[in-house]
Amino acid sequence: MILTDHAVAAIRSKFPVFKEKIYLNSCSQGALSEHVEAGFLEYLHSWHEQGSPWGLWVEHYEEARGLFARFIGADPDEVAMVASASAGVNSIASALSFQQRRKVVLGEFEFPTMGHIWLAQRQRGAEVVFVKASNDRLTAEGYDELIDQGTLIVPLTHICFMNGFRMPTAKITEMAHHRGALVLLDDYQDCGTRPVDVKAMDLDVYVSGTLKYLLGPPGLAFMYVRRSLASLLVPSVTGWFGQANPFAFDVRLFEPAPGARRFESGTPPIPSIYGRENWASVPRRLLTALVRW
Amino acid sequence: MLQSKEADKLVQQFAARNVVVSSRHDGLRISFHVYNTLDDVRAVLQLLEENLNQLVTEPVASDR
Repeated sequence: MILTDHAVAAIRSKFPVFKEKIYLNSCSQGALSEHVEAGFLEYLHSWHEQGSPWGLWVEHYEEARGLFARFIGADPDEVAMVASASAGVNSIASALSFQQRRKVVLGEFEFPTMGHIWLAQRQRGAEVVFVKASNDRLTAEGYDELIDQGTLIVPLTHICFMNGFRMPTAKITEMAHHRGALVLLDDYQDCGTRPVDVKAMDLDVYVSGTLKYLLGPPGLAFMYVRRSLASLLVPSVTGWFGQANPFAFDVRLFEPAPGARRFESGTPPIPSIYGRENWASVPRRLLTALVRW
Repeated sequence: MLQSKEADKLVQQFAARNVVVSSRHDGLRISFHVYNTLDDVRAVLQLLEENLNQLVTEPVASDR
């Protein structure tokens, strides 16, 4: 389904940047809508008027989790809310043991943070191997040569941040699973352009954030972790919001939350979460118009 | 992404004409989302045409 010129004009009118500029950089940062701006103002007002409305802020935080979960076809307990994709992936990496399977297979098209995080795991026993690109492409065959029975995880970007190449994720996921490896999809470069169904994609972990095509602010990312996997992993990158009951305030007890929330750490980015209904509803409405769900 | 020997300079030139794009390494990145129109496409094509001499238009052997 194609949007009419009238519909595009109506959407565009909510993004003031277009009054002055032609904005063609959503791959770096989505344009600011009036909805998002209103969300930030609402946050400031709540702070001004109520001082420390943490009960209200945590309600917003949980509502945002529900929105993300619906957006990717997961349940809320399968979604962690984190301050960046890096924070989420670091928590996952910290929960993995590199004693039996120690290989991490990743392509040259990954966003650099993915390389940095997994290379840092070498001090914990990981072996990191890169699939080489050729002529601006990466192929499933390239992964086929490197993924083996010793592979623990395949971190996989959906789209290359440099050249926009769309990865053959389905083939690679099937191959990795067949050989007993986990698959972590980094969807940051694509999320907001089409519907997502993490279950249909058979992913173990999915991570994305709000600042690109979801048309939100920096400071907020979210991560799905397959329920049966989450319960097996105990992260050492953690904090009070990753606990079963953050508000128990028990310094002597380390008790990770039962679901994906165990991969969260400190105080959440309330300003970025605030007004989530405003910005989160923008791409959802657009996607509903663009694609028949 | 379009290959250019001076991608950063092109980003600045486009910005001076109120067209916001970005660069990574030697590539000029232009991305569209639901709020962009055919007029936006025409405008950026016009700018690219004016700066063809700064783009790598011949296919080059590359390992990327």
